[in-house]
Amino acid sequence: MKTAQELKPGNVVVIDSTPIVIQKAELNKSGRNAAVMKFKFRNLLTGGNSEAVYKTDEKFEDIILETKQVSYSYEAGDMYVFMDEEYNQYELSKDDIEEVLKYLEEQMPCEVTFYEGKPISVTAPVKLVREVVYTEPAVRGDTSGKVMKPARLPSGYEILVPAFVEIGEKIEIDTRTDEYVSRVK
Amino acid sequence: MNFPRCVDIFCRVIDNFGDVGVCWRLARQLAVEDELAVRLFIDDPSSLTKIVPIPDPSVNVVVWDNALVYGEAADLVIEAFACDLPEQVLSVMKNRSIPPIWIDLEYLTAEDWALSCHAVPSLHPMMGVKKTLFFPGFDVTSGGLLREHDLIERRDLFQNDIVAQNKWRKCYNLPEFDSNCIDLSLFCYKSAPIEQIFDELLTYTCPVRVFHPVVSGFGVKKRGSLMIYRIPFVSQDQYDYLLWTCTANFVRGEDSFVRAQMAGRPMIWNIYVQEKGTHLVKMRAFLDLYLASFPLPLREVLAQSFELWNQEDQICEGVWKKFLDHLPKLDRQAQIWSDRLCCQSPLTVRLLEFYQNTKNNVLIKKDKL
Repeated sequence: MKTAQELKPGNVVVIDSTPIVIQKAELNKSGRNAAVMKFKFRNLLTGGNSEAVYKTDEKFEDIILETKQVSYSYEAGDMYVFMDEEYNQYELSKDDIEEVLKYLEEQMPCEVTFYEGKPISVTAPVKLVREVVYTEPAVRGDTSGKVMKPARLPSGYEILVPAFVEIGEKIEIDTRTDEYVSRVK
Repeated sequence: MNFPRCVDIFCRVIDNFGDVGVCWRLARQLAVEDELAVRLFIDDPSSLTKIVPIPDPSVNVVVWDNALVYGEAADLVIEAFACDLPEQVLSVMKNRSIPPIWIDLEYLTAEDWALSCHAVPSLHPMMGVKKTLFFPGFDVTSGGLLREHDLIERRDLFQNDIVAQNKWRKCYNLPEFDSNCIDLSLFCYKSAPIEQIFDELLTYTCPVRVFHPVVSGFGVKKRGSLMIYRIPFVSQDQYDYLLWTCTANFVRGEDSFVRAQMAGRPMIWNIYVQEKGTHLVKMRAFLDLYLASFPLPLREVLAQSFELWNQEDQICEGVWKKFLDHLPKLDRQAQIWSDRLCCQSPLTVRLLEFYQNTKNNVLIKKDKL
């Protein structure tokens, strides 16, 4: 069993006897409100997409599925193609890899999950290094690392980085939380 | 019309009177205005007695303790503030011939994420019954705010009738209305910097009278040009009159916060403190919305006042004097805000519309099958 808060894109759970793959997971919490997870998911039996909101402590039966190490090859129309070591190709839709898109680069290593032989989702490595292609100049004297600012990655996605990070620098990112980890020299 | 015939509301009292206040108001509106059979299951009925000494008999108040046997689920089941329904209740809901519409009524927030999570039906992972988070809010796409159908009419009558106001004030040993005085109601948590505001206002240019409902220690104190009236704790209904008769109101929690906005008078909100300052994010989201149409100087004054009232160790520097200086202009803005809220349909209407739409969808799906 996993709680809603533990579920990540690519995980497969059973909801009312139906296998569901999580495509997007978003945590929300404020004030006295119960912390909630908003999910975008796909029904693996019907292929239908839907959204749902659960309290973070709601319990789900999760299914462990077959996975395979692959690397990203190329984009073909609406599909994204991944390849394993034996040169087998796996096509996935944008919805299936939404959470990975922000870090996607050619040859990026990933893990593909299969359900009944069909690829259903892709997971990025937990830690990734990416270059900052744009960020506002650093504020002089602020080296604490507590003041954060947006920084754009090659994909166009923005994450928060400490104020001292500059354009052209490489940073390590935790893809589970989309948070800055450290500068890479 | 596909309205529910009966509604069950479950409420756990965590502390204070906010949760029970909202639940009672909701229960009474559904019972009295919409003529539904309403049961309010509450784990601490004594807290209800404090704010509603004589509960309206149209609501069936049921003690929710370990001995509760939930016999039959209503058409609409409202779990207030994610209070976690017991297994036995869930089991009765699951086994009902037509599953109830199950709502988790959440706390009020102006944050964007709440709108995106509002009214998204989600199948319970184990039970196969849909549960929907319902977020009250200020936007037309949110769950709305609780408001009785005659509230504004009653408010306007009272606010335009000085005799009625003085008669009401007399019941609480409060001084008569005086246009030369500023009257403030004060209802806040212990963490609010009350002494700071008192210190600053005791030298204000005109007399300031503070009406402060408390549990014990009633009486009047004079400090400079400031008079502090400690009055007995007022009931939920009487609290409206206090808000309506004051020049401005300091309120706390959720129910009082909403009522103060409906009062159409300037208000300062003392928000329930949460770990990691998440309450401040929530407060600022409200301010962004509330102050959006305020002229810049007023926006700054009110934002500073809210920040000061909700954070410890802040420097006062004349903030409260500025707040009082701007009261006439703030009053106009408060009325505009109140008018804007009252143009929208209230929470009960949106709740019943949601029920209707959900029921209709279920029926359409059954027809297709």
